[in-house]
Amino acid sequence: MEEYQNGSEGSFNSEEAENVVKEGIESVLGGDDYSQTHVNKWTAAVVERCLTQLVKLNKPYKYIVTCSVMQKTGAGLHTANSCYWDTSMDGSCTVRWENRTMYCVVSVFAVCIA
Amino acid sequence: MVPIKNVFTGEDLICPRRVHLFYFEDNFIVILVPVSETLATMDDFMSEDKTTFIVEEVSKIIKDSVETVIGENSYKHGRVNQWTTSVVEQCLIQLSKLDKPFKFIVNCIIMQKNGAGLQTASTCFWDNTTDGSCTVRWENDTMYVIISVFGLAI
Repeated sequence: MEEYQNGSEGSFNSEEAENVVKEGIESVLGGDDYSQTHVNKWTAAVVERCLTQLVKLNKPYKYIVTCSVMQKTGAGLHTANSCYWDTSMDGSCTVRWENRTMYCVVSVFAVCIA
Repeated sequence: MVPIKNVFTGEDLICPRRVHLFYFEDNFIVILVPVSETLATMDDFMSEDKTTFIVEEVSKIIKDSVETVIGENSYKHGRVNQWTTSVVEQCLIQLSKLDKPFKFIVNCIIMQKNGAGLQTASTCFWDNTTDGSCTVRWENDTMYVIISVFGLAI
């Protein structure tokens, strides 16, 4: 019983992180159209927002949040990531979001502090 | 031999550490170096390179991986999946060979050159003194490749 409880508390909760990220993206990008002048500000705001909300969860993790925003013009975009870490304690979560004029991909990586 | 007095506790000029000089009868001088201090000095000297995130080193690994996997190939929708996977895998294998006490995260983005705008950003909540990141932007005639490596000290 004890071991099971420790396992679920110790590992990364990706649903929780996903909700935090979705909220973060919606609040920043919401109903806007892709704009080259604003996109710089948007990506910075999305990562900042997601990070502050994740830190508020008060878990013993280091976080890395990355965000990519791409204009919808028919171009192909591929992303991949690979991690060398402790698979029992660390985890990641990726959220894909889109609206009429742009795609947004946000990845959160959480690494446990020993 | 009985030491007359512990005359001097000062600095060894060759390899800085505290030493103790003892004067004995018959004009013998003995220099004693505390063992713990010697080991600490050597460890400190050796460990700096082994426990810091060196951006140039990582940057070189990334550039080599991209050149090897993609090189002069043109963007092909059917092959991109395989390329992104190979690039991150190559980077990670070379990074783990460095044998440093780090956890690594490698992120790769490949985008076709089509006139579309792409913006990426990342932010990190970590230990500024020990952790680091390195991002490399690479391109050829038909695509852009952005690779980020994050290293977190254990």
